[in-house]
Parts: sequence; C-alpha cells; structure tokens
Amino acid sequence: MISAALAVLGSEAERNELSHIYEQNIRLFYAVAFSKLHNQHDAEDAIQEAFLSVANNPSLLFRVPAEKRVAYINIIVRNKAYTIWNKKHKTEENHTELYDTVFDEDISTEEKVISDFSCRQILKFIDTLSEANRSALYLKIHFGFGNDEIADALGISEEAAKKRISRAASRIRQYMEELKDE
Amino acid sequence: MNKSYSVSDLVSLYYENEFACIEEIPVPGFSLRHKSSMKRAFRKFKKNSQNLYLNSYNIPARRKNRLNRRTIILAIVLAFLALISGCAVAQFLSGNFRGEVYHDNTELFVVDASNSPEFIEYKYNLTEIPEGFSPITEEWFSTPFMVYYLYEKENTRDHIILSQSTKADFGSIHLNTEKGELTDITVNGHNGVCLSIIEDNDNYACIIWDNGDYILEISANMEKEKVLELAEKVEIEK
Repeated sequence: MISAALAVLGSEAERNELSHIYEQNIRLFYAVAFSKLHNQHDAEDAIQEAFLSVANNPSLLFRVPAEKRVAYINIIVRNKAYTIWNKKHKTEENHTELYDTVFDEDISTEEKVISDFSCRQILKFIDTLSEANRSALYLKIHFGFGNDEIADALGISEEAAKKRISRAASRIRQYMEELKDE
Repeated sequence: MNKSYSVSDLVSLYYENEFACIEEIPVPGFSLRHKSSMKRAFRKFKKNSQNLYLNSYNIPARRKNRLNRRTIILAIVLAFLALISGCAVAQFLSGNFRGEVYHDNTELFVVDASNSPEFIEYKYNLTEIPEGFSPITEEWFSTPFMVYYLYEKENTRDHIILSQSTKADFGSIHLNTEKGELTDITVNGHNGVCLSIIEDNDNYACIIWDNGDYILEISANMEKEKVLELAEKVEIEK
C-alpha cells in the first residue's frame, strides 16, 4: 500500500494535501479540540501540534485510505486535546498506566456481540476508557496500524503504544465476559 | 434488530458517534502564532513527502546547483513562459539567500547549502529569555536536522519561535510578503532577511539568517527591532 501511495507522491497536489485537508475541515478540527478544551488558545495548540505530528511522518497519512484521512487527523487532534487537558489538570493517566502489566497475547477484537442492549452497554463502557488507550486501539483496528506506527502517530514510545492497546482491548474483553455472566 | 457487532465495529462506531455529535461552532480568527505554526507544518509535510518520494526511488534529495547547459536552457524556457503568461517572477539575492517573489508571497531559498553540518551538532538558543516568557516546546517538534523552541507568555498570546536547521534541511520557506515588507538585515555580522508585518495593530517580525553553520529563524509578535535584539542574543546552548 505504501509503494502505491508513493507512486503518486511526486505531484505537487499530494505534497500540499495536508494544507487542503486543513482548509476543508478546519471547522471540524476546531470543534473537536474546542469541545474538550473550551479555550481557543489551547484548541489552536492541539490543532497545530496534531498537524506538526502528521507532517513529521507523512507516510502514515498516505498509508491511510483517502476517505479515512480526515478521521485519522481527527483522532490525532482529539488525542492532542486530551493531552493538553490532562497536562493542565495535572492528570497522570498516561504515565501511571505505563507501569501496568502488559498482556502479550494477540489482541482479538473480532468476538461478536449479538444484542443491541449489549452493544449499547459496551459503547458506554468504551466511553469510560481513557482517550489515550481508546485512540491507540482505534488506530490499530480501524486503520490497521502497527505498534510502531501508532507510537509515531501519538508521539509515544512503541512500548507505551503496545501497553495502551493491550489495556484497552483486555478491559473491553473483560467487560464483555461480565456481560455474558449477567 | 439483532445485528452482530465485533469489538472492532464498536470502537469504530464509538468514534463515528463521537464525531457525528460534535456541535459546530464558529471558527474564530486564528492567532498569528497558530498561522505561523500551521505554515511550518505544511512546509515540513511538503518537504518530508518530497523526501519520501525521492527515497522510494533512491533519488538523492539534493543536487548541487550547477550552471550546466540544461539549467540554462530551463531558465530561458521558464523566463519565456513567465513572460508570455504575464506572471513574471522577480528574483533577488541577499547574501546566502535567494528569493522568488510572487504576487502574495516570497519563496526564500538557501543558495549554498555546503559547509554546513549534516545534523544538528550543537544547539543554539536564547541566552536571555524575555521577562514573563517560558519555554513550552515538546521534544517531538525537533528532528536531527532541525531544532525548534517555542516560548510563551502566560495568559497572553505573546510568543517567540526559534528554529535552527541545517542548511540542507532548510529547503525553502514561503513568506507572506503581501502584507509585509522583506528587507536585508545583519545579525551579529551575519547576513539575513527580515519580514515585518503590521496587521490590525499587531506587530509580527521574522528574521532568518545564516550564521555560517546553520540557518536560524526567529519570529515573534513583536516589533522588528525587538525581534532583532532577541536574534542577537541567540548563542550556542550550554
């Protein structure tokens, strides 16, 4: 997929893609950042940090299918917004979890949930996960990123990325088990 | 309805719902600092995309400027095309900088990228940080070829951005010369250029200079003279 993307990177339009995405979707990016931070200055910071992060490694953006690229940048903007918010409010969730146990097992996310009730319950549960863990898992399953790519996208170490994914997936699985038992 | 979902579906659905229910809010006029950072991001993306493309075909990223026959013919063709299309591009030279002047911006290049370290071997920084400003730069802003510092004054929009890049990494930069004036400047005896903009009573100045080893760039929402004072206080970090 990367080589296919690279084949068209020579054009000026491709090299300017990031600025086009920004211009076309700035309202959405701003709304995403502002909804968490409620402050223009911080929302601007979240957006610019997200775009600098994407600019540092364009291969990740080109690895994402064109129709999902806005969603990908949205996740990065949202993640930066949560990081800024956590810093301001002295929340240490990202640091403390690094000392958690890491499960090296395969992350199976294909187990089927049948009832709508269960589905709603799990969506509510996903909402209780930290954004750091949730976004890492989303990058893994929705965009098919490897741990190293998630680490690059979120500006964390590969080990931290692995821990976040493992933690999110295992917590969801654990919750599904509890739902089955009820 | 008994549709079956996987956890993958649900995590994706969660984000779809999240983004779908975000309320649209009016986008404000963004600060100069934001605009400057976004320009930097787009420039970096363009350069990294170009390198990605070149690397994929094992094409050297940069070639030495040589006035060979092909270059001269290309220059004549470009000048002719510019003439017949009515969009003449003026050029200027200032020390080690070359500029291509368009109607709303000037693209600035480094003329001679040789005699510069391949990587950032020693970092430059402000020896004296103006009162009230504090550094807020994240480490990932910087690369082995570029160092980036950001200073902000708390509870205000005042900021100072300082960057240091290898000459090879500098590539080019688009300066908004539609609203600003580009002039020659000297920083501690080194040649450079200065862009100063006054917009809605806000001052903004950006000074770019070649200190012999690296290209340094400092910008702030301050008057040109104050930014020059800051530039003169940039020294090797101890």
